[in-house]
Amino acid sequence: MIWMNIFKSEIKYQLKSIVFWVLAIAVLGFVFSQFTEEYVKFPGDQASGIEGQANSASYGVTHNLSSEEEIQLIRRHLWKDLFQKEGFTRYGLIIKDIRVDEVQKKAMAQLIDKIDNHSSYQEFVVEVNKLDTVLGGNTIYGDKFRPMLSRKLTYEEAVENFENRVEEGMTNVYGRLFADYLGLTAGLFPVFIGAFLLGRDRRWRMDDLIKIRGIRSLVYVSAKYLAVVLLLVGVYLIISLIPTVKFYFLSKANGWPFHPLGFLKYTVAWVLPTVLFTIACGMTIAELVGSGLIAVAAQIVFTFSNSLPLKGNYSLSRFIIRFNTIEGHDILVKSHDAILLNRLFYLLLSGLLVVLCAWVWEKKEAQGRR
Amino acid sequence: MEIRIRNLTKKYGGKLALDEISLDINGGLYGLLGPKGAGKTTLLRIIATLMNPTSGDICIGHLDLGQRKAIRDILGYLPQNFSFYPQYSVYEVMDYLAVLSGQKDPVWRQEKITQLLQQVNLWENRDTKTRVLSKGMKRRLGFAQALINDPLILLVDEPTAGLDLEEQVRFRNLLSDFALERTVILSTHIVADVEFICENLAILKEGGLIYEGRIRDLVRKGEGKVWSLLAEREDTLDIRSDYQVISYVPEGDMMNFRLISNHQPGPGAELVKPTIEDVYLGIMGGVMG
Repeated sequence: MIWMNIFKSEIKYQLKSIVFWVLAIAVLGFVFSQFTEEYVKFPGDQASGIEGQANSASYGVTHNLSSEEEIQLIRRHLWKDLFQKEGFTRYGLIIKDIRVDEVQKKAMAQLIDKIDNHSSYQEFVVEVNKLDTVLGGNTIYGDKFRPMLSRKLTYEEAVENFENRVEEGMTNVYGRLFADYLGLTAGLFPVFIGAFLLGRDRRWRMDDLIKIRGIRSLVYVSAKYLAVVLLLVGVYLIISLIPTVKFYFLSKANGWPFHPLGFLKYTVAWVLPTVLFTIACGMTIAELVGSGLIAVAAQIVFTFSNSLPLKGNYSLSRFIIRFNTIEGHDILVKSHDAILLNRLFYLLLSGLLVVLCAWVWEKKEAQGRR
Repeated sequence: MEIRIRNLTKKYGGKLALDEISLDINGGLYGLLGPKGAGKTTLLRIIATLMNPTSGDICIGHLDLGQRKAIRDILGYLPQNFSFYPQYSVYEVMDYLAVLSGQKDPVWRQEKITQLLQQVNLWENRDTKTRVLSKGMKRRLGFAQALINDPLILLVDEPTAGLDLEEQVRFRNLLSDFALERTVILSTHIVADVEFICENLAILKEGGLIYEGRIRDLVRKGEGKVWSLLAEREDTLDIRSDYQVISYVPEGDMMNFRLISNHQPGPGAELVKPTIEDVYLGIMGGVMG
C-alpha cells in the first residue's frame, strides 16, 4: 500500500532528523521544569511547619474562592495598587507594571467605595470589569485574570484536599496537571515540524521528482501528516511513562490506589487533539502562504492567546485546554461535556485542515503548470 | 514512441518563452540544443506535464496533455535543478521515489533498485548519504530515479552541465544505452552532448525553432563556409569584427583563425571540414541559415 510506505518513509525521515530530537528534548525539558509533585504527600509530612499549626506552615494555595473571599482579595489588591504601588500590573505576553493616572486613580478609589457598599456579587463583577476597561484591560480586575487570585490553604483544607486527591487517585489528579504542561508544548512545538513538512520538498529541490510521480495529494499529505502525529504522540506517551513509574512507587509506599493509565489517558485525550491541530494548522498555513516561518509565527500568537486562563475555559476557541491545578475536581466534572466537545471539535477540525492542505498542495501543483 | 508537437506556445506574462514550436520526435535519442534561456527547459516541462502550454498541442503516442496521469506513468524525468533529502541514503532515495511511483511490491523494488544502481555504477554507494555525493554521482542517481518506473520516454535536462569530462562521457554512454529501445529527449547547451549520441536534433533560440533535422544534414550546412586563416597578430581585432570567429590560436608570430565566412576571408585561407559546433555557432551568430 502506497500510503503505508509513505507513512513509514516519513517516520524513518523524522527519526533521522535533528529537529525531531531537539523538539523531543525540549518537550521533556519544559515539562519537567514545570511539573512537580508538590503537595503529593500528607500535608504535615512536607510543609515547613508543624502539623496542626497552620499559621506557621505553608500548605499551598487555592484558587477556589468564595464570592466574599474574591471581593475581599480584590479590595486588598485595589488598596495596594492605589496607595502603595500607585500603579497596577498588566498581564499578557509581557507582564508590565504601569503607573496610574489621575482618572484611573479616581476610578480605583470609587471602586473601593462601591465594594464597601456593594449589594450583590453580580454588581461587584460589573464594577471590577468596568475598572479593568478604564485601566486598559488585562489586569487582575477583569474576568480574564481574576481567576488568578488565590489565598493560602489552611491545614484542615489541605488535609481535606489531600484526602480528595487520594480518593480520586493521585495519578488522575497529577495526570491532569502533567497533561496541562504537555498541552502547552503541544500547542507550539510540533509546528516546527508541521510548518516545514511539505516545504522541505521545495527546499531540497525534490518537488519535481515527486510531482512527476502523479501521487494523489491526499495520500501524500495525509501519510506524512499522520506519521509526524504518531511520532510526536509517541514522544508524549513515552514522557508520560516517567511520572507513571514514579507514582507507582509513591502509591506503593503510601498505600494509595494506583491507576496505571492515569497519566497516559490524559495525555492521549487532552494532548492528542492539540498535537493534531498544531501540525495540521502549521502545515496548512505554510502551504497557503508558502512560508513555514509565517506558519510558526502565527502558531506562536495562537499559543500565547490560548495559554490563559489556567483553568476553566473550554470554549471552542481554545485549542489548548488548561487545567493547571491539583484541585478543582468539581470544575472538571462540571466542564466534562465542554472538554469533550472541545477535543472532538479539534479532532474534526484537524482532519478538515489536512484535506484543505492537500487541496492547496494540488492547486499549487496546477498553478506551477501555468 | 512518437511525440508530435504542434504550434506550441508558452508565455510567462508578456514574455514569450516558446513560439509556435512544431516537432516530430520518433524514438531514439533526440537532442534539444540551444543557449540558456532558449526555452528548452520550458519545452521539457510541458512534455513532462509539469507545465501547461499557452497554446498548441502535444501528442505522446495516443495520449494528449490532458491525460496527465497516463503520461506521467510512461515518463521518466531528470530535471536540470534537483537534489535529494540530504539525510537519505542513495538506496533510500530510490526506494522512496519508487514508492511514490506506485511500486507496491518490496521485492520488485529491491530488484529494480539493485539493477539500476548497478547500471549507473552506484551500487557500492547505496548506503552513502546523498549529501556527500559528488555532482556526477548525484546526476547518475537522478538518472537512475528517472528509470524506476521503466519509462518509455525519458526527458533529461542539461545532464552533463558542470560535470568533468569523464563523467560527461559516462553519462552520454548511459543515455545511448537506454535510447536503444526507448525515446530520450536530451536538452543541452553543450554541443558535444548531442554531437556524439543524437541522430536528430532541434535547435532553439529565444523560444523559436531555428533548425530541426538530422545532425548529418546540419553539418552539411557548414560545408564551404568554415575557414582556417593564418593572419598577423595585429589583425586579430579586425578579423573578429568582420567575421564570426570560432577560435584562434597563436602559431609563432602569426595567429591561426577558425572562422565562418561565405567567401574566402583572405589570401591563403583554406576551407576546413565543418563540425557541428561550427555550424551551431554560425547559426547562433546569424551568419548561417
